[in-house]
Amino acid sequence: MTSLDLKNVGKSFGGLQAIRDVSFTMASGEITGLIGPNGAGKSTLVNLITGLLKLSSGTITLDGQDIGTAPPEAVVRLGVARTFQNIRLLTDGTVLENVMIGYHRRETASILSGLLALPSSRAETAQLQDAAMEMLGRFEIGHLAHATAGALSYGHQRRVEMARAFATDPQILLLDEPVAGMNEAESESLGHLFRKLADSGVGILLIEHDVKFVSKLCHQVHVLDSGRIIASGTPDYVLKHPDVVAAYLGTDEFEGVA
Amino acid sequence: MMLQQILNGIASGAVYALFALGFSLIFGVQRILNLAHGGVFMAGAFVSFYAVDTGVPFPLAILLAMVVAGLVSVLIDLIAIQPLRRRSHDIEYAAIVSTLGIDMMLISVAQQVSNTQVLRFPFGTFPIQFFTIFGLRISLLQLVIFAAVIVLTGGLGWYLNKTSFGRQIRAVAENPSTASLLGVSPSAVYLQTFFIAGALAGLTGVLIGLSFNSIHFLMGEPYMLKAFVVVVIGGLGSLTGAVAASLLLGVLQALAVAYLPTGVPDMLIFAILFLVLLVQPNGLFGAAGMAARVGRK
Amino acid sequence: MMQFFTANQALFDFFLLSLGFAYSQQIVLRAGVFSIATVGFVAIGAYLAGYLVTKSEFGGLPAILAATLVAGLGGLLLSVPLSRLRGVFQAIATLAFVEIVLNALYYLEPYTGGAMGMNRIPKLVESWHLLIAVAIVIYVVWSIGRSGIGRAWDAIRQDETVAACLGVSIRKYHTLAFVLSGAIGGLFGAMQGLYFYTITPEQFGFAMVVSVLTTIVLGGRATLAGPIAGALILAVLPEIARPLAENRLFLHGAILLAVIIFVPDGVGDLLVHKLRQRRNGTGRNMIGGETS
Repeated sequence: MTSLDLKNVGKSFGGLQAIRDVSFTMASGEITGLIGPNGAGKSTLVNLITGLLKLSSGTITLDGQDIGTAPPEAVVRLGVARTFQNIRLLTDGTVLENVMIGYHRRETASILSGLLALPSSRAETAQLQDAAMEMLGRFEIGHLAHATAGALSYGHQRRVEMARAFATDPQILLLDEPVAGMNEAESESLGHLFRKLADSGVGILLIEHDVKFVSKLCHQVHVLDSGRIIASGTPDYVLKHPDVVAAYLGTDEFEGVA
Repeated sequence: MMLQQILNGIASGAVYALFALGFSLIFGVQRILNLAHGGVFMAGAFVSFYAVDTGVPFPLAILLAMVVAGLVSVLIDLIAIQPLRRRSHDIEYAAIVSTLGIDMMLISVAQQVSNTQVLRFPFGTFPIQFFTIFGLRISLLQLVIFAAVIVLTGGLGWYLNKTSFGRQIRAVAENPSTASLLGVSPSAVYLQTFFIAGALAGLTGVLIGLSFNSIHFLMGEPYMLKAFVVVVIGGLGSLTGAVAASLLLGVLQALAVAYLPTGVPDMLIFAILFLVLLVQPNGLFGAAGMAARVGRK
Repeated sequence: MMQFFTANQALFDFFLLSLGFAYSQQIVLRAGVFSIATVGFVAIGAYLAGYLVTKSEFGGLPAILAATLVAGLGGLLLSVPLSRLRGVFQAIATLAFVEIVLNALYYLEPYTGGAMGMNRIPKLVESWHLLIAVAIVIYVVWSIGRSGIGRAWDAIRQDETVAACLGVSIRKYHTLAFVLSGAIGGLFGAMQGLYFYTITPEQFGFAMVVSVLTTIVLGGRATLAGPIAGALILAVLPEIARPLAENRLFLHGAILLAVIIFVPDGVGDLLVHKLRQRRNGTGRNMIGGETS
């Protein structure tokens, strides 16, 4: 059981306060929702957790260990993986290569064995290739293994990116708008996948502005607006919260939910 | 003696400044290193020489050099840079390569045209006259160069900060996509900055050709190398920084050449460049605000 | 066959040397480092080997090994400050490094011969030595392509942020690239030094920086075939374009321009990708239809 804790997290860019006083906790095995209108600071928060941005205030801990100042490669080694809102694949590489690099933290072959193609390096490459193929199968994109990643459809690219993040064997997985731009059927099938991943023990933070999707999957939802958490609780509770209604008022994302 | 050397240093620094202004302008607006800037500079010198050679009055020849160099520079943007902009990444690397290619083509043309000869302006093209102020000798040409630096830096600053064209340039430099949403055409701005930079380079070419009374197809290269030093120390993209760093470099070089053995002055200058990059990669004179480094931001 | 070889031996040796320099340049670019320090390493290797052979009791092989080691160490040292810089700043800093080395060669006249250079270096390197050295380097680069090192470099080059977020230590892999680039540059620099009887500082100037970079632009940054394709084009081009000899520089520039615009990955990389796609039966176009 792993838990990620944010305490009074704040971030300012110049004079602009992008995130202020955000605190919440999430644990492995659960799907936690983080919703909010565009520009609320959701992606900034993900960048703070994964080591791309420096905290202005507050602490972020993983099982009590401070990760608020760790560089990104250390954060992921401790078990926190992510996807990007605007999908960032290695576009020139194949799907298989994209997922294989996800296993980087598992690599143990020495530099020297890599330079000289010693058996340990070759065996590792073969083994990671098998593991990556299996992972592609779990995300139902095994048939695309040798396709160039940048040439895939949007939905497939999202799946490749998730498979890659999952290959790092995370305890906590931050998914930044994983169903943005997908149709109902596609998001439905991804929803099932997330459920399965969570049941296997991974903690998922689902960052979305599709409120409906989040409310179906999560027991606990946090609502971010202008960098602050304005409501936390069950989907039913937060969606009726007056501040949340006000924050979403006039945006069509809220239609058909309340 | 030493004061005279400092004065000479300032004079050559002023020329570096003229060269670096255009180079730095292009970097500031587009984030690319235009390696063909030296070729444009050389083209300006060539145009003025052949104009004078065919009997065009010198002031007109200068104007012609600036216009032609400006147009060559615009062509560089059209041929070597525009096709790269559609790409999402790697423009930095690609632009260095493509402008390098153009530079080689310009040098080759100049080599053919001049038959690999050093060209010299006919005697009397520009009056050779010296003044003595407080025991320091200064030539009329040096005074003209000082005046050009002051007028052009001031003019460019005014243009960028006070006119609506300038505001467009700054908007594009800040963020091209936002600027185009506001109705500013980035490609028009790019062409404009390339023209200004080219015209400045052309003028510098003429002035250098006069100063050393020597124009040849390889004259751009040493100035390119100096321009790297200047724009880094001044802060890539910062115009006042480029001018300040140029003067500093000119003085430093004049003193180093006078007092240090061969090889050491250039070694010293590039060592300083190296150090500045490590300690203060955005330059010594104000922040250019480039992501020169990595890490949590 | 043999006749052809002896007639073109100089051309062949030149090709092997430039292939070595090209791998030194490619390794850093492949790892996403915009370094053009290769020529600096080559100069260090050439002069060190030349000095060891002429002024002390070193034989050819120990001199070459020493030069390789020292230049690799130089790469290690250079990587410490340079790992903090990116993009054009790295390019300018490494250009400064090359200029510093170059001017040091002029200044350290008692050891380097100054502008006159180093003369009467015994010719200890033959074609087959060059061939062995190239074979070793190709084997190493081939191995890298099948290891975690190659995967990490390819990831860093394409998107450094993503690589870091997947646990790749950018610093470690950049340092490795610098060390290998230095060692390979030093190795072939030393071989050049012991091949041509004489070395001068001006051989290692801006022109060489451009020609080494050109090899990789033409050939490609990511595959084993890249430098081979690039060096081949550069070796054969002057032969084909002999009628255009006077315009060689123009042609050279025009090719650089055309390749970076129309074949940005380089000819060698492009061919390898095409072959790979054919083998796997999945081209870009076959699934590109649904790209949004």
